[in-house]
Amino acid sequence: MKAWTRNGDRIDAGRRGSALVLSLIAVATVVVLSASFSQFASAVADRQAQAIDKKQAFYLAEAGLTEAFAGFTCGKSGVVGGPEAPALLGDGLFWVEATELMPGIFRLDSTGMIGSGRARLSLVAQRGIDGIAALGVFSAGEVMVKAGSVIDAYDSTLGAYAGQADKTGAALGSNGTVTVVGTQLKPTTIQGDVTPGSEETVQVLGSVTISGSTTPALTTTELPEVIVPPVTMGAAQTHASPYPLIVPPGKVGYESLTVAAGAEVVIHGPAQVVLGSLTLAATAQLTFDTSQGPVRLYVEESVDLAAGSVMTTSSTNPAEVMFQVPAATAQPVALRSSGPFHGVIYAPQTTLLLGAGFESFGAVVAQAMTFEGAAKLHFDRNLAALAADDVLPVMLSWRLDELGSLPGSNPFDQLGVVKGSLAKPSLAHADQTLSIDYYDALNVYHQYVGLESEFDWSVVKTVIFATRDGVEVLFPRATSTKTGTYKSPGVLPIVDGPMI
Amino acid sequence: MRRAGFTLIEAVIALALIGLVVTKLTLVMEEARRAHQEESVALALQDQAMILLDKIAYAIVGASRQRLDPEQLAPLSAAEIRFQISLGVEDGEPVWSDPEIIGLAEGSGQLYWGQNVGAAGERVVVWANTVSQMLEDELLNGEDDNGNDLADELGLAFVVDDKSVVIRLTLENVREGGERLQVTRETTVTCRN
Repeated sequence: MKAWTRNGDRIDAGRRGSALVLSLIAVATVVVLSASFSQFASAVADRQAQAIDKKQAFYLAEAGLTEAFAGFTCGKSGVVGGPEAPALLGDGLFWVEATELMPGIFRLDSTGMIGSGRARLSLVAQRGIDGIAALGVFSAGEVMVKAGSVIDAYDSTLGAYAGQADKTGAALGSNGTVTVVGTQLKPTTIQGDVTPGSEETVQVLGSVTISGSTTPALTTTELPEVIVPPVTMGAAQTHASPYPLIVPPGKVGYESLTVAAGAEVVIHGPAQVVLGSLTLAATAQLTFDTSQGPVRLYVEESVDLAAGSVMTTSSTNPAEVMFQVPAATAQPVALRSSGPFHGVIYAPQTTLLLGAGFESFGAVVAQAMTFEGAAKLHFDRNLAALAADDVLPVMLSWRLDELGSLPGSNPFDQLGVVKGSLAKPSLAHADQTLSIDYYDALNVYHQYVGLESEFDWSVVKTVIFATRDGVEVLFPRATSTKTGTYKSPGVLPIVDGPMI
Repeated sequence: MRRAGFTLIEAVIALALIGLVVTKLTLVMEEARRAHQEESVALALQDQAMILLDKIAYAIVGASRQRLDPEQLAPLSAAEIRFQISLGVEDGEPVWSDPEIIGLAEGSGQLYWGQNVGAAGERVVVWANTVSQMLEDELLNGEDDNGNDLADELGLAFVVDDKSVVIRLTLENVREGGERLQVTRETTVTCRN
């Protein structure tokens, strides 16, 4: 069979369209390659989009943790939104759940979702504690300071006490009456505030100098209990050898520790040492070596440091040694040793007996205090700064729990929520019962108890005391003293109702 | 009178033209195929580098600064990092994972993750086989050849500085004809614990 050319000539049928076939093969090859590359590029682009969504979800979950933790620092519960009403941030959302693992320790679980990405992070945080060391010298009961006493302050970060000219900023406080006695021969000097309990007074007898305020406190100061760490208790130790007994770093416990005359015990930090009782005979010595870390000493039943004994520290930083007596003791805790002792002594349930030769650099806080002679107590102003840090919660653990993606999904559809109806993070915190004493802009004293969502924070000038769901909202103390916001307004408060 | 068929010259010219067209087409198709393969390999390598860096970053982001080893400040770097991540809190104390490691097996180009390496319960997973022996443009000569403030860094390099870990990774693949294709990526992770 023959075919016709355009000019009317005929050609062989076997050669018809050969150029077209070649062209088609070429085009088909290019199309197949393009399609395959396009498909591959599309798969890569999808994978990269998912990776970006995952990363964004991760950062959203982190934003959730940050929001919850910031709330935590203000005494909030840490709950922000929930799966049914998450917080909206950009094109994504998050919510945070809070679980109390043990008293004061919470786990915050934050879930962030955006596009196909989903991430869940968890953070364990410990609530801040009211730094009792900032109280300076404080007795929950009445206190009498004897003639010849010196209660002043220094800053341990600036060097030794002796070399410092500024000795102001001391704090002597009580929930009861404070009596300060001085004589012409033995004048008493207090370089700072003396703060008696609410509606109590400072009684000054004789030659006494108080450089600061003597206005009473607004509220009673509650001394938090001491939590003794779990430690396996070893047998009672009586040390009488001329060679020092070394208590190693770590958690150590003894039923009792008795140091005979002339003997020495050295506790090496970092250590948590729990003792049933502690006895130092005259000329015995107890040394806290904090060159490698701090020492926390807990004595549960009795403390008797005889006159002539020595309790001393290797460091001049009082923050490195904490001597605590957690429970009430049958006899007062007798501190008749000499020093120098740089540390914090805390006995919230018992009476301290401070011997005539006892000198402390740091802070001393107790249920009650008895001075056998003139007191020499030098408050470290740096402890107040550290206490301000203690008020803030501490992160114990951070963990990435889940990170994934669900292609083609939309978090709003998945959760069944409407984007426009979601609250922004700062407004998504769980509502709580707020109890607050505060001053308004005109320095008028107010009280409010009710839901926080119904409270207008803009009317608050100064917070005196506040709780959320019964948990005290801790504010860093501006100074070591209970001046300013903590002073009594001297009038009854105006009780506010809900304010919207 | 009408001629039937072509002259010899016409046939030769036609065949030459057809040959030329076929050759051109073949070249075009080969070029397209080669470009496709190169782009695919490059894209795959970039994709793999990004995924690997993310994987490493997510693995060590939960680590503690105190539990990172070794500590390498520029110009030193390490081709492996040992770490422990936080698993939570028990009795008020943080609980840490078994020791983990991410490293480069020298010579094999293998990037691996391991747990309890050299101890009971050892687990090792190879995450990639395409890690370059040296980081891109770096030579083993004691100098910083590629201007990143590191000397003689391998294809996987960790630099730990304070709470941050800088991770650099070069992947490579060999094209047809023996030409090496390299992709380098870098990221910084801040340890959260």
